[in-house]
Amino acid sequence: MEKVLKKKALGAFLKKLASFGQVYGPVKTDTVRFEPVSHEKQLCLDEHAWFPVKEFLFPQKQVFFRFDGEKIITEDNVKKAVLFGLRKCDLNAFLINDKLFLEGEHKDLFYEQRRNNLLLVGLYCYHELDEFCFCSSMNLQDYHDIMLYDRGSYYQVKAGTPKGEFFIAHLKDTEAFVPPPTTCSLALPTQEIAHLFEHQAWKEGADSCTSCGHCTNLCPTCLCFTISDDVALDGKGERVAEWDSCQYKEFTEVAGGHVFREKRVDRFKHRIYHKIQYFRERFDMSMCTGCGRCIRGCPEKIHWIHLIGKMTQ
Amino acid sequence: MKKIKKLEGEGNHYSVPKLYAINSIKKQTEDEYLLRFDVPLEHEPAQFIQVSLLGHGEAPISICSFQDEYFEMSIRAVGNLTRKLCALKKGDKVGLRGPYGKGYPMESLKGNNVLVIGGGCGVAPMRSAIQYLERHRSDFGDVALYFGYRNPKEVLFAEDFNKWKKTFRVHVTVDKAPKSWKGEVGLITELLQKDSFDNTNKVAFVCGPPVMIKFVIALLKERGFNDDQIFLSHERMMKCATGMCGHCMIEGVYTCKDGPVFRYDGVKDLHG
Ligand SMILES: Cc1cc2nc3c(=O)[nH]c(=O)nc-3n(C[C@H](O)[C@H](O)[C@H](O)COP(=O)(O)OP(=O)(O)OC[C@H]3O[C@@H](n4cnc5c(N)ncnc54)[C@H](O)[C@@H]3O)c2cc1C
Ligand code: SF4
Ligand code: SF4
Ligand code: FES
Repeated sequence: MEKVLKKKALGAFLKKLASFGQVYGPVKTDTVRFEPVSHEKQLCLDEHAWFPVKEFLFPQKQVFFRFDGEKIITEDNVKKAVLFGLRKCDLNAFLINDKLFLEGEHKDLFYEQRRNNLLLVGLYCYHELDEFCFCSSMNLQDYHDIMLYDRGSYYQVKAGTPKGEFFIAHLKDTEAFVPPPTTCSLALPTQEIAHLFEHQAWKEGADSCTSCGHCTNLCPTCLCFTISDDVALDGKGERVAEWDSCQYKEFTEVAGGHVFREKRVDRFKHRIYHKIQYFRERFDMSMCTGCGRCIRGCPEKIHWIHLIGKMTQ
Repeated sequence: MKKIKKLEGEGNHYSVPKLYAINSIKKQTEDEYLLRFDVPLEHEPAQFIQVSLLGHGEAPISICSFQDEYFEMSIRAVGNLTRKLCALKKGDKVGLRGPYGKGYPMESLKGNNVLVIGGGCGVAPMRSAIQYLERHRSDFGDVALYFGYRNPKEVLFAEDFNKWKKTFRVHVTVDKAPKSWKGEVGLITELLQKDSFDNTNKVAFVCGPPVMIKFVIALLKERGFNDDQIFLSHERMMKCATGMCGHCMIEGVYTCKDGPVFRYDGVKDLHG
């Protein structure tokens, strides 16, 4: 059954959610990011969060295990949290990340523990939040524990899972509502770009790229990482995983100093091909959610959607 | 004997290795050491293991044997971790997790003649396939081994060659050699060119530096080999070995889980 949440009652709803775990939502400071919230006035619900919420699944730096001599110690990750105000793009990022970390032959159990301890509460977009959004061309799925639809003085509330159902059961019932599909002015012309691999225009984009890695850092589905050991003077230490970027030259360097993606244009293309071509060929869904963060946050203002637009004109 | 399917540590995460004592460590060349672990591990020829020393990191190393009671790895000291590994003694413990990846699909290749072509340390993973061939000799036809090294000092597994000569055709060449070297001198492609092999019922295993691979494949194609008769082993930067970290990707292919051994038709059009 669908429900009604009066905007006046949002504060009380947040309190209800807090019984699951710490509530995080988009908060505007220098920029919009997910921070702990205890009051609805802290929320910024009309802008895109600059940073994605991927660190709730795979922190920028995490300890895989600690060691002390020959002893190896692992710790469970069971802190519960509610992510409130997620947009459809960021909700889809969970499905995409699951493919790599949960659904293959090998599984990352830390990812799974964190994943199972999240309650995902979405806020539906009828239109783009800014000129960088292009989710409407990315075939996103409906995926959430709870989804809110702004209907003026109230939110229409739907649950997507039994877990979500539990937290809205107390709200007043209402008739079902079919939301209009999200519209964005910006659109990716095609996800099929295999035939464009040798296109000259890639160079245009790559020529202004500085391989800074902001794009991969900001992308909700870029979770490439490196593994290394940190050791203290007393011999105790930890094996840690940290986000890495395919935009860095060292990313593919092997013994003897050979770098497989030595040329910047090859690294620039690899990211985009992975996002909309390679991943889709393997998993039948795009790895890009159309959130626009990699364009919004590129210091060189490289607009790869326009670039592909040019190639496919 | 009951075989172990997976080397893995205690706890709840794939990254955790299990510590094993080295049962023997033997110097092979100036930079290469052979480590043996008396663990009955189930594996495919040329699968690899993530080998680590707590505090010094982890590296992918190929299994270079195919035996019931033990497995071996040949390690070349090239950097921080591999140098430390090569300096270890019998009884010292190292962390192991694996085996990972796809090795040579030997079962499905039964009945073929086999051409094994290896350069430099590319010979290590092939030794695993060769030991498989030794143990299943009657399931395969003619087997010819071609190995190329830069100079006699770098010749890996020299002591195996005499044994292999009894059952296989074995050719070893070095790029450059002092007078004392009794064997062939010259590039491996020159050696292959002299041989009049063709592609009848044959598969070729190729492993070595990129330049060598390029020339060898060109020659194989000249001799009528189809792409699906050629198997290549690729080396890429690896961290997780489980298809998550992204380091080993060649386009959309993961070297750690789709490889490191690939049939040529599946990877020949990939860039990088
Ligand atoms: C599938 C596979 C099988 C391999 N089999 C063998 C083998 O049987 N014997 C052997 O001696 N070597 C093998 N290697 C290479 C070996 O993994 C690297 O030499 C080793 O990781 C270097 O580690 P290091 O700490 O000693 O060097 P570092 O000090 O880290 O650096 C030395 C060089 O090695 C490169 N390197 C570092 N880490 C890796 C890595 N994880 N993968 C690839 N290159 C890396 C660095 O970029 C640098 O150029 C294999 C590699 C792969 C991918
Ligand atoms: S953010 Fe822009 S400049 Fe930086 S690596 Fe990405 S595309 Fe290149
Ligand atoms: S590639 Fe860019 S637009 Fe697509 S999900 Fe990543 S950050 Fe968002
Ligand atoms: S080594 Fe991490 S994805 Fe292959």
